[in-house]
Amino acid sequence: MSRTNRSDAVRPQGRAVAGAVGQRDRFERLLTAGLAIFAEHELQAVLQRVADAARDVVGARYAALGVLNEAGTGLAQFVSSGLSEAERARIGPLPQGRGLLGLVIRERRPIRTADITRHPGRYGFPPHHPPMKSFLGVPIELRDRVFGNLYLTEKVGADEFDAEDERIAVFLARKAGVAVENARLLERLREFQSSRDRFYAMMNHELRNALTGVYGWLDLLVRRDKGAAPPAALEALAAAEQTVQLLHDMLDLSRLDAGRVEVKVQDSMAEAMLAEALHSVTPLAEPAAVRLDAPALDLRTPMRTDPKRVRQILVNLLRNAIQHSPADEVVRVGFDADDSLVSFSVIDRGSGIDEERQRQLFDAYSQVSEERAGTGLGLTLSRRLARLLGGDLQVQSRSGHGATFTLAIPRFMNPAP
Amino acid sequence: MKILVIEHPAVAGFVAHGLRDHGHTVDVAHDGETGLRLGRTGGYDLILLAVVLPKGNGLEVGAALRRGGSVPILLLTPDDHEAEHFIRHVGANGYLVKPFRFGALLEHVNALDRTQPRPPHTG
Repeated sequence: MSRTNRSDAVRPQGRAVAGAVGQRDRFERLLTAGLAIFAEHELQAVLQRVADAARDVVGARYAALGVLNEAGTGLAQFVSSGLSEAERARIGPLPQGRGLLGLVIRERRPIRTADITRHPGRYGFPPHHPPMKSFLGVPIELRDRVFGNLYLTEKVGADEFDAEDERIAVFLARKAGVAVENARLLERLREFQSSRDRFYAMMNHELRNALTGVYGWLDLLVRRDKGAAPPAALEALAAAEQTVQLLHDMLDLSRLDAGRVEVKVQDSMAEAMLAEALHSVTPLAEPAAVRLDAPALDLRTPMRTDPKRVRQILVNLLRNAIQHSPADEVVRVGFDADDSLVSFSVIDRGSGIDEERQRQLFDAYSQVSEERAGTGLGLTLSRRLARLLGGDLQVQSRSGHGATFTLAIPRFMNPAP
Repeated sequence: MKILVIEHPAVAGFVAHGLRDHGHTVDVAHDGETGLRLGRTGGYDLILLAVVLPKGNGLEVGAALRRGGSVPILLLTPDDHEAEHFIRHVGANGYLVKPFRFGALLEHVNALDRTQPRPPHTG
C-alpha cells in the first residue's frame, strides 16, 4: 500500500499513527516554520518562532525554550508558547533547571515521559503552574556546546509524545542553536568593532598631536628662512606632508569601512571644484617642473553632489599624475558633461601601468606587497569615494604610454535618505 | 593680541613660538584645568583650544569659557567630526584640523583679530 510505504519512508520506526496526508501536512508546516525562522534576525524573535513552530508541528498545548547565559549559570533568554501573558505572570520566576529541564541539559539527551509528576528526575511545579503531564524535552546544542533546552508539554490528541515528535523537536532545537551562536558571534563582532573604533580614534588623536609638532616646527623653520631654507628642512617638510596625507587617507578609509562617511550633497559648480583642486596642487607641480593643462573653466555646469569629496578625489588624481609625470611634461585635465553625468579625466605621460598593476591599483587591502610600496592610499580611497557618490573611477593605461584616470559621477545626486 | 593656547605640549610649542614671532603675547596651558583658570582671569583677545585635553575635556573647558565672556575661541581638532560636535554644543569661531601649517593658523588668527582695524571687504 502506497500510504504505508510513504509513511515508512519518512518515519523509519514505522509506527503507523498518522496517515500520509497527516505526514505531508506536518512536513509542509515544518518547511514553512523553517522559512519563518530564517526570516527573523532578532534572537528573541527567532526563539519565539522556534517555540511556536515546535508547538504547532509536534502538536502540543505548551512549548518553551530556555537559553543559558554564556557562563551557564542561569537563563539568558526564555520564551514560551501556548501560555497567556496572565498565566505566565502567575507562574512567576523563570524555571531554574532543578528538575527535568536541568536533566535535559546536564545529560544532553532528549527526555520523553507520559507523566512528569511520576518521573524520578522531577522537581515539581511552582504554585499557579498549569497542570501538565506528558513531556518532551530536548537540549539545544551545536557542535560541542549546549545552549539550553526546548520542551513541549501536553501532547494534543495522545497521551504521550512519540519518537517522530522527538526528531522534529531535535531538528527545531538545532535551528535555535544556530541562531543563538550567530547572535553571540554578532554581539562579539560588534564589541570588537566598537573597541577597534575607540582604539583608532585614540591613535588618530595621538598621532595627530605628535605629527602637528613635527609638521608645524618644520613649516615654521622653512617659512622663517624664506627661500634660503636648507634642503634638509624642505625634504623633511615634504616627508611630513606625505605622512599627514597618509594619515588623512587612512582615517577616511577606516570610516568608509565602518560606513561612517556621510555624503553632504550641495549645489555646486563642476568647473569650480576642478579649479579649486588645480589650485591646491599647483605648489606640487611647480617644483616637479610639471605643467598642468586644463580647459577654460567658465562656471556653466551646475551639479548636485558632495563638492568636498569631489575635490578630494580630483586632488588625489592630480597629485598622483604629478608624482608620476616626468619633468617638463604636461598633465592634461579633461572635463565633459551631459545632463546626467559629469566626467573628469587626468592624463599623465608617465611610464604607464601594466595590466597586472592596474588590477591592484584601487585595492590597497588585498594587494599589500613590496610593489605597492610608495603608492599610498589615494587611489583606493578615491575609487571608494567615487562609488559613494554614485559614480566610478577607472584607469586606462599601457606600459610606457602614460595613464588616463577618469572620474565619472552623476550630475545630480539625490540627497542621502 | 593677547592669546591663550590650551594644547598638548607637542602642538603648543611651535604655535606659541610662531605667534610670538608675529608680535602676539602668548600664554600656554597644557591641560584643561590650568587653561580654564588662566582663561577666566587673563583678559585674552583669543583662545586656541584643543578639543581633546587632559584634566577637563575641551568641550567642558570651552563651555565654561563661553559662559564667562565673549572671547573668540579657535578650535584645534583631530578631525571635522569632533569640531562640528563642539560647535553644535558649545560654539566656536572656527577650527583647524591637526596637523596644520602655521600659515593656515595665522590666517585664522588674523581673521579673528579684533585689535586690528578690519579691511572693509571682510566687514
